[in-house]
Amino acid sequence: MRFKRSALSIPYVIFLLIFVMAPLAVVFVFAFTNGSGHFTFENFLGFFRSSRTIATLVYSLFVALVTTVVCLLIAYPTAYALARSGFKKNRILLLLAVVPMWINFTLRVTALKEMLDFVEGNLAYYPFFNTIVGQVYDFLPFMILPIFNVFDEMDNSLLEAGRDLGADRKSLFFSVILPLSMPGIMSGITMVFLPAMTNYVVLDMLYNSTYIMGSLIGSYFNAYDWHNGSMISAILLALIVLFTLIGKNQKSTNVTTVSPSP
Amino acid sequence: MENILELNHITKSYEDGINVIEDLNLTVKKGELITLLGPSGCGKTTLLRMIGGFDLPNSGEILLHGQDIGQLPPDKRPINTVFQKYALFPFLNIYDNIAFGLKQRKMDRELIRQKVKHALTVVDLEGFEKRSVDSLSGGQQQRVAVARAIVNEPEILLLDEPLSALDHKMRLEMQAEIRSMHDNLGMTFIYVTHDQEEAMNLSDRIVVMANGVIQQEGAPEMIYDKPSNIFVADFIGVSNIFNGVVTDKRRARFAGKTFKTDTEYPAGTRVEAMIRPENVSITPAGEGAIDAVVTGDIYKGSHHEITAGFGKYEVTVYGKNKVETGSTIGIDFPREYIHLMPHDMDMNVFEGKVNEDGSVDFSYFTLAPDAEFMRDKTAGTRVSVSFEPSDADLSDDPEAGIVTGHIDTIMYIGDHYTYIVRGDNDEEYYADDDWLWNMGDFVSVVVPQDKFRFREMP
Repeated sequence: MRFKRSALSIPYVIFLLIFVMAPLAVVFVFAFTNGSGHFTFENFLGFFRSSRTIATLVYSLFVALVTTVVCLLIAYPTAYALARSGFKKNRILLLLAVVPMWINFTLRVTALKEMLDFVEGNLAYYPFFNTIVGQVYDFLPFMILPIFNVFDEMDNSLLEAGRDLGADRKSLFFSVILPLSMPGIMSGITMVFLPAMTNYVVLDMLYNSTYIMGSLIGSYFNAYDWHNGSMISAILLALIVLFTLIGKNQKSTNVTTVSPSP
Repeated sequence: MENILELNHITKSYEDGINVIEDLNLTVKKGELITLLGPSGCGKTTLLRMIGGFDLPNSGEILLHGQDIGQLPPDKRPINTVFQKYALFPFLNIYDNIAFGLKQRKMDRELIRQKVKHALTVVDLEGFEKRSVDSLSGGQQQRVAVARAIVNEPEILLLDEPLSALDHKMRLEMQAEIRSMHDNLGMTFIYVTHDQEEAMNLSDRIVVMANGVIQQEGAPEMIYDKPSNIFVADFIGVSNIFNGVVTDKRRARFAGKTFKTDTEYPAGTRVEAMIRPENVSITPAGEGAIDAVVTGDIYKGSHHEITAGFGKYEVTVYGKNKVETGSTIGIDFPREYIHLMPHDMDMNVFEGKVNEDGSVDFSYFTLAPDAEFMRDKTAGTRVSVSFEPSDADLSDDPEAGIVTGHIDTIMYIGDHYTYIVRGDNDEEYYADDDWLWNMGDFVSVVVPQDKFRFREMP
């Protein structure tokens, strides 16, 4: 039998089936069945009927939003300074900003917990503040990296063209630099916002009572309620698909770069 | 015509201390299309960037209508630029790209719409308003870049090698269009290119630059027919150049013969004589001034490019008819086409100081003049040294010569090559060599000890 190039994809397809498709199928099967294995919408209806779970969803969105905004506010100027300050060792500075990612995050969060505990006296005093601090600390590199990349690759002649056409420094930022950095901002947001809705381990480790979507899954699973846990996962998946679609639309108008044909 | 721009004593050096532009003066007339022409690294782009405001001169003034704008940022200058790689904003469509400058000026929306529409008509891109930048070809992007600049009605339009990314045919088309756009708009254009043909096709006036210094400025015909030195003669077009000397007021001896000339120089003046290939006449063997053996004939469509040798010299001639390689032809240099350029005596002159041990430190190299010269010289005495390019040779052994450097310029002079070697500190050495080296070759400059001429400086 002759070897076909398409045969090369077989391992990949098997991998996808076992580690991506099968778990997803399991999640969906559990989400749409009850304890006796019958098909039902009851899990979802239950979620949307309960004010407690809806409140958790809204609160998760809020926490994720605040985390994302704080990350963006810190990461944008940092990335700009790292990429465009003209400082020759800027790669090393970037490394310093990213290096914490290499350390196991439970270690990092434990260290953070000790520091917050020392400063605040008792972690229970400022649960929301601690939540945001923990999340921002965990996600900041994911916001810095893509924004750094757009600044690093930004074509200087575009900035010169902006000045040439009459833009002063301030106007140049809003009419040229910001639009040019949008692709980086968008990928930063996707990398921070969605995980921030579910990353409850950080909150747990900070002995935090704050309850987000991830905590909900965790508590259902801890109680062996696979059906409701899967249902929450399915809802998050739907949200991810939704946000990705929105993000993708954004990108198609923003990611384009000029490449004059030679 | 009124002067629109005056550059006075402009000097620009970068952080490493190397001068890119040295004491440059240039005047631009209102409404002319002036081209800055030179090889890469000659400072033409730096000069353009200083006019645009992207670089600031270290000293000197840039006067626009008599006002010094030399230290103003780009947005405060009524000057717009067409960038080499267009620099169109990828996040804006064509309309918004062109409207960018007008919007910065908070112009009325309807007026902007009219102006953009008009600009698109000028560059022949009507109906492209809604297109995205990356849906356009290189030539179209180029036109948008021009429209985006001219829509602001600048006093001066700067064009930085705008056609370098286009293919040859497209480039010729755009040259004609830029020229007619200039004539229709009546705007002042300053155009930068390293392509001498492009400069010839476009310009009212050409400024030839090399090593941050203006070598010559003038109309294209002037630059071509009467280049002021061998660099210009060699850079523009094809030329035959011979070292020679003026023997009588209107006679010069070069290429082994004496020729009558139209220009007058005192007898004894050392010159380089230039004649263009199309001006060399071909005669039957024995009837010209020189008999030469044909070494090659390449058919170029409109003419035959014939190379012929006589003695140690080689000459390029454009002829109407094919000649057989190996046959003998007569050639003549008609007096009205012989162009004499006085020999630049400033080559290879260096200043130094006498050391304690009796050697002389010339900053980049140290020499030991003979005892006769050094007899009454004390340490610290200022001394100059010079040597003739013809006495210098090149070697690929870095230890062989007095200094090392990279070959920066190659000029073919009749029977040999004259090279400019650039040392590590940007200093220049002129050396003649029979062998062909390549641009950028690392060489050492070899000068026999007895060929140095030392002089005590006052």
